[in-house]
Amino acid sequence: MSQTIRDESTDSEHGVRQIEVDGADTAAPASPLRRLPLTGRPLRIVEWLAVVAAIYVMITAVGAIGSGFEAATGGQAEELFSFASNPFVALVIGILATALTQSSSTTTSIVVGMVAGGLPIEIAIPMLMGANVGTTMTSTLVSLGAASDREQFRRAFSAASVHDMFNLLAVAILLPIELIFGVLGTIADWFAQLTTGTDGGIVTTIFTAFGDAVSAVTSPGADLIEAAVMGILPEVIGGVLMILLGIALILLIIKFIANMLKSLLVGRAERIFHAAIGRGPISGIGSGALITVMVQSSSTTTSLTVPMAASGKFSLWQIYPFTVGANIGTTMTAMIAAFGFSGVEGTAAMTAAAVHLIYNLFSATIIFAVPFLRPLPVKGAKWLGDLGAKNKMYVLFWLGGLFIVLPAVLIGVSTWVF
Amino acid sequence: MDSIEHQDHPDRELLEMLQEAEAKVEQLRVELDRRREFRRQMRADEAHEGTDEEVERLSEYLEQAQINWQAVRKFFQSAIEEYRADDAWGSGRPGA
Repeated sequence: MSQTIRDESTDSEHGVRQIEVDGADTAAPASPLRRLPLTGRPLRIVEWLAVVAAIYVMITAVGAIGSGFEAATGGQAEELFSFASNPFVALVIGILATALTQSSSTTTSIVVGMVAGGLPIEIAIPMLMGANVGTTMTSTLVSLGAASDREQFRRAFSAASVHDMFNLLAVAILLPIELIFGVLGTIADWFAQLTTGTDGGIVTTIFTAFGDAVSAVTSPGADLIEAAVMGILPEVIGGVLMILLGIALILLIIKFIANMLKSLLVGRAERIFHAAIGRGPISGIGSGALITVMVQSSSTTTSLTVPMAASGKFSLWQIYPFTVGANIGTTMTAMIAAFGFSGVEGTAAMTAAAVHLIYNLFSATIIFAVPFLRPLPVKGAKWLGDLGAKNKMYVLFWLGGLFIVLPAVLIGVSTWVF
Repeated sequence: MDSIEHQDHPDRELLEMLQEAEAKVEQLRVELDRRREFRRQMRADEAHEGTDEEVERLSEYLEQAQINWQAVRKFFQSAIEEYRADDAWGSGRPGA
């Protein structure tokens, strides 16, 4: 079904953008800039400029984290982070950091900044995997809002759990492979060398030129923060403060970008959904990735599937590829952030960002290509949904198990074993 | 090689019947495929029935796709209360 956005207008009094899609009016989510005395095209231009400015601030913030991490660790990141050299500890850090920030993009951007600042990539890889698991908490908490109706809750909780199950399965498959063979690190390193290395090839030249341009524009901001903080504080304290400042900025900015893009792009997202429905898993994964890139938030895409499934009109099999696509789409934020660095730091940052992208591409390919693996997340989610609809305590056990017991067991057992 | 076109072919009648049978089998296969495709399409249509209309409600779903902390607190409270009362989902049945 082809959909055409025919007209957009803004009701400035209520800050609600009306989008006419094939004659039907749809109210877009409220814009964060709705209080500005602008309407229509001028407002849209200002909103897009705000998105560009926000991306600039985000890259600057990641740059500040990189500089702060370098200063705080004094080039001794490997020694200082030796506690996280246990991959399961690093995985748990990724899970909990993302569960706390409710944003995998934030965690991955922070990790990219830290890798640029000297954190070894071997420690960063499990953290990036953990970010995928941690982000599932958001959609699970969203599903609790459907508890007023037991059947709706069964569907909503199952929909949220598809993402949990897929991400747990992905970690169970790819973390051991990575620990034994180091596949992700090797491919990501090759990718980073290809795009930001020094081989002088055409790809390197294009990416380096783009990266240098971005870095040249964003570096003054990071340098300004560094000068302001480091000029008055000792190196270690100043470094820590820069990291905290960077994290706070990223949290605020990613939320702002997500809200802004939701408001600006809801009509396009509708068209993507219309085009993807009933066209198989690859189309579903692609549209999930595209929508996530558009709203810069995998939590938004995965949480969006919760009320859609709760309505009873979308089956678990229909929403499953969207959530997998969200994992891929969310890697774009760290990719953008990586362009804020240049030289050796740029290569390190790109390696970390590429790890996240390759990990999510591999997990989607492996799980969807292997016939006995593909249905496992749906079966697991359905089972969990049935349990939750039987007794709410199972939901509490699942949340406690995934975000408290599992991390504790992983740390305890792996510390004892290693 | 013998040809069934030849009037005096000894197996002409049998060979003709065999050709007819093969043509019929081919026809049946085509019909079978057509019916299977029709049923598959019907199932797909049923599965997607109403989904286009639901996509029109995307903005509404985007609003719902946010954590409602009050609902989360209420869920945790009711889960614990129901556990204590041994009354799952307030259905009056223990662990229903």
